Amino acid sequence: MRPGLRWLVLYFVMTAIPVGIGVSALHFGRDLTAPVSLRGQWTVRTESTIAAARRCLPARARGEETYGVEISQAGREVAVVGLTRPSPTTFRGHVHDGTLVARTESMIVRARVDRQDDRGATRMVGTIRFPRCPLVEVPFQAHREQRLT
Amino acid sequence: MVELATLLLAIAVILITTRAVSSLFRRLNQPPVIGEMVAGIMLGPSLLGWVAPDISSALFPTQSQALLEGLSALGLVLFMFLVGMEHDPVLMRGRGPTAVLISHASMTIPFALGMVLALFLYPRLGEQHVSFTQFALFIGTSVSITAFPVLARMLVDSGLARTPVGVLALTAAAVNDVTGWLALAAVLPMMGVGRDPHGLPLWLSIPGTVLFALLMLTVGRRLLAHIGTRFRSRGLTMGLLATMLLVAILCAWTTEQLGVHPLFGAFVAGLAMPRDPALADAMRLRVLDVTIVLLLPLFFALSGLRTRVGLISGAQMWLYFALVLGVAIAGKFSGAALSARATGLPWREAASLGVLVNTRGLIELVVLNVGLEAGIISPTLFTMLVLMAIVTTLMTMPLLSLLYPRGAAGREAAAPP
Repeated sequence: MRPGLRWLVLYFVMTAIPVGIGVSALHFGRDLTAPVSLRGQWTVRTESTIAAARRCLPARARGEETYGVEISQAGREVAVVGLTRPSPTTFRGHVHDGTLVARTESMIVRARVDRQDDRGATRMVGTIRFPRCPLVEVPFQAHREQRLT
Repeated sequence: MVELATLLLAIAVILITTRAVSSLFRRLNQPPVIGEMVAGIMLGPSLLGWVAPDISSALFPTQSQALLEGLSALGLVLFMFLVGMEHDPVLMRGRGPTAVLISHASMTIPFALGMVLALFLYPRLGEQHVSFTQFALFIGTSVSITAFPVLARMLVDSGLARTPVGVLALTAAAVNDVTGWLALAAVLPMMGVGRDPHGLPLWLSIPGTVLFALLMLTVGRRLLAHIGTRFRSRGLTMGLLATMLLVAILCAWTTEQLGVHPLFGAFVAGLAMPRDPALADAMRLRVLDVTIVLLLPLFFALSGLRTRVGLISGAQMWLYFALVLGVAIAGKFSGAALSARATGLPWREAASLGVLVNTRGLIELVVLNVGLEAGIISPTLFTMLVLMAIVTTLMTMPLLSLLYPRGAAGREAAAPP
């Protein structure tokens, strides 16, 4: 084979095939979805106090409370910081199919995305549960105040 | 308006840190350029900003970063100009088609692998507002980049710059750089990163750049030939030095106006200069030392200021990082080594090329910053890709010294082509 023709064949094999693979990847990936974005500052409004619920005091401790919460996110993995006073607690968990589950040893936060726009969730509703107090749960609503980059 | 004292202090801190870390890395048999990259990251939020945020923000206020950016861009332009001047056309002769093949294969293969990797990463690390196409194009681009300036410095540092494999690597990397910048200019609008609305459209930018390069290397070279004549009669006078620097800066400005990075213009200006080793040596003495010691560290420090290594955490994330790293290395190495071998190069040279073009370094950081600022990648994925760039750059010299011990490099450099 002449050197020029050989170069052309090699060039085609070495570049056209990878380009074809890339185009195929774009085709196969067109229906994929990225994890819903929760990253940012949230306001969480609970229907009863978390401090009381942690002591397994459900009925007598009714009363709304508001917390500032920061959610950081790396793909499906999330860290929720806040929900306790004076020092915030860090809950670690994941988000999958629009449902957030994050926990510590003594608390489990479960929430589903209620509203979202093209840049991520804007409202979530859920509950906080306490493994030591199985009969107690604290319902809450969360609104995203600010997105973090 | 930033205080001059703050700017000078920042430059002093950058110089001290880069010199200290560079000398440490030199002892570890790594080229100083790696130390400068690491020093830059140490000065950023990954270390100084984390340990002493007040000191960090006082040393590097946002306003002074713009000035540092200008100085560092000038340093890169001068460096690329000198790299272009040092290109030896005798060694390059007959290697052009080979360099193009190796360069393009070492871009398209990792690009394709990067897009396949995106199929896995997008559902796990993608951003909701970014489409799969945007994400995949970015991942493909970020794993297919070769850092031309870093590679050039590594070749100079290792004594391989004038060997056939060094020249081929540099030529392939130059082609890679040109193609890469052009591809990036084409891909960024597809990713949603808008081109300058007042700039040239893409259909004018690419042919304009090609035309500029051709003009410089033909008509420009003839016009610049008198520089060689004057140098031989009078030496490197101030006037001659100013003329050469002016050509470099104007060429950089031209490619910037054409929508391609100014480094490309500076490199072409260097290529168009008269081929006179004495002139190149004189320029190196007058310009290169200041550029390497003073201006390039600013570029590394600035890139470090934009990098947050601490964002990556957790076993799963490290696993994803390992996957990104594996794909980046496998794509670059196989693309260059297999294509080089297919063109008839011995395995050792082919493998060396694979190792060399796997250097990513700062150009990668520039692209990653573009992606982060545009919101195409999350801070976590940004961090993974930054780490990938550092690891692939770090591994170059040890692997190269296995394939090319210093003695062998010296013998090949001395041998006729």
